[in-house]
Amino acid sequence: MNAERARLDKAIDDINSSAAAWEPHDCERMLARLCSEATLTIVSSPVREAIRKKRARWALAVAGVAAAMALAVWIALPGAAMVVSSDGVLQGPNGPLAIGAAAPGGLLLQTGANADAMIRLGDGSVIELAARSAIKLTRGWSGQTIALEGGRVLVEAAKQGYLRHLYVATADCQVAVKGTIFEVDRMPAGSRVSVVQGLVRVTTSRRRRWLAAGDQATSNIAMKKLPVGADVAWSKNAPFYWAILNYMPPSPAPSPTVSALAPSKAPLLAEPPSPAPAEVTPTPPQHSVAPPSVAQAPQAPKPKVAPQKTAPPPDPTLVLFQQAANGIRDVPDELEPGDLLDLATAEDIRHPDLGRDTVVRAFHAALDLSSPQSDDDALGQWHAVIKANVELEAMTLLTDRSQDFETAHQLARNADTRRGRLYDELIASAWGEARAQAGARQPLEQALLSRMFGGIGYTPKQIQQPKGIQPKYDVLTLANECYQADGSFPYLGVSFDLGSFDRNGGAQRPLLLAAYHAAAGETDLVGMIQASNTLHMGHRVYPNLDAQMESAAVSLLQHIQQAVQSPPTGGIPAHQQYVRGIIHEDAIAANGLLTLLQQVDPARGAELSAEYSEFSADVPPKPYPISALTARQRQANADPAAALTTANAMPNISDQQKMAKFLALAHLAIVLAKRNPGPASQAASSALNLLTDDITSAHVDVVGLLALRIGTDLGEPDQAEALMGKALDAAEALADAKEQAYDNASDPVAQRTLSDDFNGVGAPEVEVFAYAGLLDPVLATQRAEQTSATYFKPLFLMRVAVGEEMKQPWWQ
Amino acid sequence: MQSGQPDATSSRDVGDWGVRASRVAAGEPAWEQIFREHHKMTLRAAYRITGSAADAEDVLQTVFLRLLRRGPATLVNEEAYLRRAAVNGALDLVRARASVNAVNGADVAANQAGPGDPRLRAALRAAVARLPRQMGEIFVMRHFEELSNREIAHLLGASQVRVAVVLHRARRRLQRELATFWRSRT
Repeated sequence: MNAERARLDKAIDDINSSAAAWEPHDCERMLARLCSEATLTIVSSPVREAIRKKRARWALAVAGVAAAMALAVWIALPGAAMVVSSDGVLQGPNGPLAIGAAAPGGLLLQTGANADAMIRLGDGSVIELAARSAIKLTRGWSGQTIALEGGRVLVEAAKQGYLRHLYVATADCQVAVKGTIFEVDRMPAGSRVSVVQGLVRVTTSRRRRWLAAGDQATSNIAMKKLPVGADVAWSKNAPFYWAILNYMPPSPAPSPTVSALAPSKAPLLAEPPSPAPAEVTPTPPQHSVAPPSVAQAPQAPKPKVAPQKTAPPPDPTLVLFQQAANGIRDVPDELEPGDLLDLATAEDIRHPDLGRDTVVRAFHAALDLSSPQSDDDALGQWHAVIKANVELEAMTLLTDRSQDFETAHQLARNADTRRGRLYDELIASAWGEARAQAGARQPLEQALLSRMFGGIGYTPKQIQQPKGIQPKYDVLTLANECYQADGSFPYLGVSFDLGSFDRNGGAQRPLLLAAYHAAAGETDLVGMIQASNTLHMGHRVYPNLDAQMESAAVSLLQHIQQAVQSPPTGGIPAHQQYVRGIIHEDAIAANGLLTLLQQVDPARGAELSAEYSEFSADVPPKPYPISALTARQRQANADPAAALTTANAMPNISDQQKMAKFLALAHLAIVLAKRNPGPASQAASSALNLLTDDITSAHVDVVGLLALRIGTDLGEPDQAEALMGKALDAAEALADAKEQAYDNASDPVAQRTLSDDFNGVGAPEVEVFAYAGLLDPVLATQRAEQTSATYFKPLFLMRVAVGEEMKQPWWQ
Repeated sequence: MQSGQPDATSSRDVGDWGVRASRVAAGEPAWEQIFREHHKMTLRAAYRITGSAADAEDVLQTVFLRLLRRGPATLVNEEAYLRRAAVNGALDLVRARASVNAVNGADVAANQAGPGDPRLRAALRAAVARLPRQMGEIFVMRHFEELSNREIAHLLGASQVRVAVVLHRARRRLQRELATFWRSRT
């Protein structure tokens, strides 16, 4: 430990000594650079004046020579940009341009449908044009500009001179660089910039930002983001850029040889690991296709690539997430958003930035699903359910976990489902931020305890509400924005706000009146329930607004009565069942409203109760029993012998009895493994004697967990591997069968029912991969990669990655 | 303090304001005064973390561009702001580089200058960049910027006890990472 401490101190001293020995100088140059970067901000700067005067003196002193040279250079420069390769036709202003021809400045150059081309600029920069792309080259004193009129270009910018930049400009964004590799994609919705190497500055109408290697920016937040590696995949030099980015492209379909090795039947965990996937070998960019005279032109500086052997090994978890993300592209469209959210949830534990990007991808994937065209459009109805769930969950992840209000707000504006629920999350997020800034956030563990044990004797510590705090974002503005967008209203958010903030002399009256106004016109089945709750809250907070509340309540009662008397028809049976459930909740809400109105005005309340007599009956609350599982676990560990005797005494004559006995013994082994390994081994041994293929298939997750315990706690790695191999075989067989049934389903309704079987990461056949990852991550990854179950593959990889993460608890 | 001198102290003297006042009176914008006074301190803070003069200059540019957008008049304590912004900007830069995994060679090259083992320095810089954001910031403030726990606590609005605890954890973590680096090297 002393040596480690001494090593750290030495490294710190070295760094401080080297910094002390370093003497920065050239303040004026840096100031001038700053001026040039900030010309938009600084109009008149003495330093810039000084620079201009200095240049003017220079220019006067060498006017004759400089003018002649400048003229020569100016004339020569247009010829310096030339076509160095062309696959297909590169169309210039006067017809096709051949290799070696000069690329004229200021005029349109465009590639055809199946063509691409490379143009080298006078400074050595190389522009690669994709098919159907068009550019114009222009020059200015501060550098050359590539005006991207359409399509996409990949630029390897040569080192630029002092105060000079190479620019790529689109209609809504400008990219400035000094010596980097980057890609710009111009689409109707906006522009996307991906950086392979170096730093670039991206300026849009809204903001200016710096992007580093691996970063990506879009000028419109609604645009899809792609991995940078995937964005440059169209380039001829893509493998080279992938090597720089350490990006692993989606692997092609497995070859017959690989398929023969696929572990579907053999006990795979006993096999040695296969060789690692072939690494991408960097090959230099193919710029030497030009004629000899062109090849002698100044070469673009080659990016420095660290030799593969010196690069640190990539984070295995990140690699698995990447593979899972690639695998998601192969799953059906309607399953993709859910898979992406699962991926984001897993990534968010240790890689929150990655997780946030994946959430946004999930949101866009949900937006891409079709909307219902009619009540009988079963596929559209199904998609609508997915959209609603994914968009809401994405909002929750962005606000609660990533605390990225801005992105969440942008997405909410683009949502295509009812936005009220999304704005509920936004308002809660704004509230949480204000509370946090005022130092009044409830500790996480208290919130958890409060949620777990609220109402049964646990009283959380009360946080004193600070006075006068206000959310950063105006809740009334958010609520109005939502209401004007699609007529929905964020009732939950408003109730949250009414109950959370210091009420300062009626400041929330306008908000409550807006809620009453929306409630009076509410006809959505779910919205009516939420509106009813808001009326209750409003009565408690502002009783002097009870007249408005009563008016809204009467309208709401009318709408609920109409919904109950003539419920919406159409849609698939599952949707109809859902609607019936919601209408029942509406009736309960109406009952609550009548009670409230009786409290406010007994005479009027009695009158309304008579009018809406169908809602007057009381509805008893549901009891919520507490699971006794933990108590049972404690009991088994307190007296393992008795527990073992009880389990062994179970009959095992019929198949059902054998299965029940196996489960009892397996669970007992799992529960006892850590504290009582002796009895646990006996229970495991008895369980394994009963194990059959049918039992394995029916309880594949239990078998997997048992294998993990046998391997990690009971010290039988060989037995554990064999058992885990069986569990994985069974899991893959189940997954294959489910995918086949899904593909063979005749209509969307049946598909929807079958899709429930996939059930995300909670499905037994998926969970078993997490256990396999904990037992042996290398072999588990191998199995997941080689699985024949295409739709389940990303989920398998994700669970292996999560198993990896569990070895190092996320809270450390 | 004279213009152009390293500005590593956390206190000001009257002469400081005298120079400032005379320059402002001469028509130089306030932000240029700030640049002249603090650019060395800002550069050095970034240099300690990035180990590269060019990167440090990029951080300096980013910090001052941000300052220009925000407006120097809004600053209460310019030195504290710039020091913290430089530290965070440099850590962000190193983190962004590290995410590509392709700059290890470049890092080592950037760390060649100076005493001691350049690889050890590079390893420490990379490890600091991998620390959680605030932990990295506190470590750098304490050990590179040589601020006291009390000053750091004041800057971050945290208690001294918390700063001490975070520092202890940061050192433990860095010691472990350097030990791993050492083992892999030997």
